[in-house]
Amino acid sequence: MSCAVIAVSQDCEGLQMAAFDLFERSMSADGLERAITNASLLGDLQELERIMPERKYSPGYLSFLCYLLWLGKMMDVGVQFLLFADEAEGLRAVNLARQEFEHEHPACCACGTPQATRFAKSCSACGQKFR
Amino acid sequence: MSTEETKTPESVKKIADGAMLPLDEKRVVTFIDRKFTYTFYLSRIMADDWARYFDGIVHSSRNAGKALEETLDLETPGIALVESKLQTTDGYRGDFMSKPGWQSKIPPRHSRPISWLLRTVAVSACATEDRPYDPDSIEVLLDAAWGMNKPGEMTMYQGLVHRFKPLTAEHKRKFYRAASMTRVVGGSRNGTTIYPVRYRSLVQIYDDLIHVVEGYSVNGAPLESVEAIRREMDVYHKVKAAEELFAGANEEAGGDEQK
Repeated sequence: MSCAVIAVSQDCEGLQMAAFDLFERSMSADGLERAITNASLLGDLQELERIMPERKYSPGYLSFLCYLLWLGKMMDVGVQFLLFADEAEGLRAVNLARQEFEHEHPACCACGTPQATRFAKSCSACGQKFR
Repeated sequence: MSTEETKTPESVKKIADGAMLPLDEKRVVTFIDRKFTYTFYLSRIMADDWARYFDGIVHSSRNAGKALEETLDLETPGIALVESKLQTTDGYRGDFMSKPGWQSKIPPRHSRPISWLLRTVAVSACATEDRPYDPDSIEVLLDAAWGMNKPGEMTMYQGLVHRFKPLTAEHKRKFYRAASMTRVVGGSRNGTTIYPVRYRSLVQIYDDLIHVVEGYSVNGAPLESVEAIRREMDVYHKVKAAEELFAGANEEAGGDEQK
C-alpha cells in the first residue's frame, strides 16, 4: 500500500474519476433515498447494509469536488474570481467528467432525464421512444 | 468521569444587563468532583497558544467497506494547552506543585474538563427578537463560560455580541477553499483523508469583517475600536463567531451534487 501523501486539489485524474462517480451516484439518488427510507421504516438493517453504496473514493475527494462545484456555479452566475491553478485544473477535470457522463448517460430529449445507458430504446422516466 | 461526579454549577451574567467579560484577566476554571472543589488558575490564552491548539487537532476519515470511520482528536491538544498555561491550583492534597513539570501530574480526569471549560463557547440561547433587524450587518450572539463566580461555580456570560459587515463572495470562497484542501494518505480509493485546519481563515474573516462587539472589556473598559477588537479578542471567540457566519449556508459547498 502506497503511503505517499496525495494533495487532493492537485490530483486532477483522481478528481475527474471521483466526479464521474459522483454524477453516477446522484443519478440514482432519488431511488436510493426511497429504498433507504423503506428499509429504515421496516427496521431491516441487513437490507440497509445491502443497498448502501460502497464509496469508491476517499472522502477528501468529495470535499474538494463540492468546493469546485460551488465555485463553478458562482462563476456561472457572473461572480469573478482570480483562480488558483488547482482550481482551474479542477474545474476542467469536472467538465471532462461531466462530458463523459453525458456521453454514457444521454438525457432524454423529452424530459431531460439521464438514461442508465446510451443504448436505451426508451426513456426510463417518461417512456419517450428513442430512434 | 460521570456528569454526576463532576458538577459545574454556573452563575449567569447577561450582557444585555451590562455585564462585561474581562478578556485580559487570568483564566479560572473551577468544578466539584466527588464532593471536593478544585480551582485552576491559568495565564491568559494568547493567539499563539490557540494556534498551537488548533494546529494540534487531528481530523481524519477513511472508508471501511460501506462505513465511514472518522477520527477527531480535540483532547490531546486541549490537554497540552492546559498544561502549558496552568499556573496554580487549589484543592489538591500534598505539595506536588513544588516540583518542576507539576502541570503534567494533573490527572486526565481533571485536565479534560479544564480544557472543555476553556472552550465552552457556543451560539447564544438568547433571543434576538427584541432588537430590530439591521440589513447592513450580521449579528452573532455567543454564550461563554469564563471565570469563577465562587469555588465550584463557573460564570456564564450570556449574549456576547459580535456584529459583522456582510460577507463577500471572496470571503466565502476563502473559507470553503480552506475547508476543502484535504490530503489523502494510502491511495485515492481506500486511503485516509486528513482534513485541514481552517481556523486561520476564520480568524482572518473575523478580522476583516468585525464591526462592533458588546460585552467584552480590557482594563475594565469596553472594546470600542476595530483595532482593539482585532488585537484583544480571544481567538477561540473569534473562531466561534466567524463560524456562525457560515451556519445555515451550504456547508458542503456545492452540496447540490445533482447534474
